[in-house]
Amino acid sequence: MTVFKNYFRVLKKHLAIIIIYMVMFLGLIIMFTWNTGSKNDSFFASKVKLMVINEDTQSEFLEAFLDYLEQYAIFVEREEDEEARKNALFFREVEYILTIPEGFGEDFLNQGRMSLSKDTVPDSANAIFLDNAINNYLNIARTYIKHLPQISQEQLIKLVEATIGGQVNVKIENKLPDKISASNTFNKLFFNYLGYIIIACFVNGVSVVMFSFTVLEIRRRHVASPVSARRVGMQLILGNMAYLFCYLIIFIIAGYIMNKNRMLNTGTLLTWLNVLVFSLSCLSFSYLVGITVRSKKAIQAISTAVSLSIAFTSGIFIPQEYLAEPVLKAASFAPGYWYVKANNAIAQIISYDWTQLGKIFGYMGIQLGFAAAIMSIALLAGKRKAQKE
Amino acid sequence: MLVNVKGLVKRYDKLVALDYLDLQVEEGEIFGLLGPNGSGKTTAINCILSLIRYDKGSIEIFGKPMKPNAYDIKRNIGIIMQNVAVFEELTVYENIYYFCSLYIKDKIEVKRLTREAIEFVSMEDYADFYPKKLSGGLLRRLNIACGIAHKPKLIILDEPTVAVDPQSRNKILEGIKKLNAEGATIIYTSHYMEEVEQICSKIAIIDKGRVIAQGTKEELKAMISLGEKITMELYELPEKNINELKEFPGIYSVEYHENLLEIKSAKGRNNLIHILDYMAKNNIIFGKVYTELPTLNDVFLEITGKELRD
Repeated sequence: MTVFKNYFRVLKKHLAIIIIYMVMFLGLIIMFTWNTGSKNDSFFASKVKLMVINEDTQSEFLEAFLDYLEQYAIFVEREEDEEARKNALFFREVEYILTIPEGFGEDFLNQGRMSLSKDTVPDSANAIFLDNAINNYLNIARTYIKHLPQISQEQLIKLVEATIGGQVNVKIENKLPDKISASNTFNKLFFNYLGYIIIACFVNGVSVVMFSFTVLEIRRRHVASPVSARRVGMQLILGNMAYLFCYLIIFIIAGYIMNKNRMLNTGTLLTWLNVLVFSLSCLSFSYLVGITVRSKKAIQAISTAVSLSIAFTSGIFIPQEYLAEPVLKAASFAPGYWYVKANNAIAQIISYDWTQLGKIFGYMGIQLGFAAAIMSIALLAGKRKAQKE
Repeated sequence: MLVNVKGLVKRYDKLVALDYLDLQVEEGEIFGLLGPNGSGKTTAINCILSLIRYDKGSIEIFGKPMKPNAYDIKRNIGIIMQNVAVFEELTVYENIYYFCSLYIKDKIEVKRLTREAIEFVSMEDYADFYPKKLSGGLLRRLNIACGIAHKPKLIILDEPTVAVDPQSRNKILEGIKKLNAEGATIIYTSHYMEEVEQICSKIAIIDKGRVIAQGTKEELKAMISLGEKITMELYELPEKNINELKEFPGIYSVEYHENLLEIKSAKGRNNLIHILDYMAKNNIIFGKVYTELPTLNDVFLEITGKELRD
């Protein structure tokens, strides 16, 4: 096992950079993932600061209309001075000033064309939200007035309220128990980010060591020695696999310890399997880089470029839901995309039936396909390089 | 016979790198393979070591055919490449230890041999240095230590002194002689004829992939007609005198340019006395006088019509 031992002696010299990567990103992962502890599963409508300048005489209809607006707005005390109103808008003391002109109530009930006027904070989403609420009420009321011209104010108010109905509460229901769900969510985030570190550290570790062993002069020393090329190759592969497993064990243990809701369930095991499969494709890629590049500096450049581009396009740094279709299409030609897809699918899994598992194993299978294809290219490239030299 | 190469042919597409090359190396020799750059020396070494495939011919080492899987033969060979072949990530000690451990299994023995190799190349003070911190000469010495640590019976050195300072070069050459004295057979390739002349007991001159002459340096020099080269510093020499000198028995070349007279004579004749006598009789004033015996470059020049370093 002389070559195997030497693999780690060579790797030791590059360990500093690998450890820096590991510590730096472990820190970042802690920052990112520990903020995901509190989760929202219901929505509440926010209220808009509204000032009403009612120049009309009070009527039952207007009273009901203002009562309705109370659901969407917090009423701010009326300012009489025009300048004071503008200042209130400027300083965001109020977001929406609604002016009800004199005679509006009567005109509206008589199907007139009089309209309300408004002043809002520019580009305010809240103002649009209140616009919708106002339009909604008045449009429903107008529809009833149109079709029931003899309707009384009292009846109209009742019908509009009945149509608008009560407030709808939106709630996200998660069929998984809270703890499992939290554990899966942590695993998804942790292992998605880990994808980036794996690419960076594998290229910086495996590629650099492979480069050292495949430099022409060193390779010739091995060929001239009594150790067969097959044994040298096998011991190097063994070295790579040992590095992979050491690396994964460290991160799997770190991820398990850091997970506040840690549990050893099928989801966790599937995530570990997925990271192993992804590591194999990264290992193949690192091997390819190690035996094809011509300088160690190029390896560092490739490590940075590839790891960042995969991280940004595959959904490691930015969730796949936010990425454009063409970006995802391009990313699907790299194993990182399928790794993230599998991680996301594992995090969302509800029952471990074959339909769901089949999808996840399919993603893993694609990653294995990538690993095999890249390794074949690497072996071919290695053979051609040896023949050329 | 320790190494026996017969009819070796190696082609790179249309280029014939080795053209029916024959080499015979006896046990205990320092065998020099001398030739200009591109003459096929490194290709021949690569074929002998089974590092590359060849098209025709046979190679036997220690009386057995040399093949890529001839591990018993490889165990007794040490190689020192033209380019330094060490791991940048390992110290001097670790590099020698690693390459030695490819040949020897016993750890204690490997440690002992590593220490001996470090002493042999006088690098005791640099054992913990990384290659990047070593000068060119020290790197070459490390390269040699990596190749000889396991005490091989046959050591092949491919231009080990290229780009090395004179002090390190002398140390390397002394080391090679010492290895030979300890019982190792050496194959030494170089395009520096002085080195080959200095250390090799037998020399093969190679050009365009063929051995053009082989033997001891004395045998090689005996192959050519040149016996002595006389050079004189002269401020003036009329054409008449040059022609008269050309008529001297045994002298076949007289050239005068840039105040230097160069006379080449056949071997076995003591021409210097006659020439000095002629100069005195004709009142020709001369400065320094040098006489040189033929070099391997002269041998190469006479056989191929070109200088060794062309």
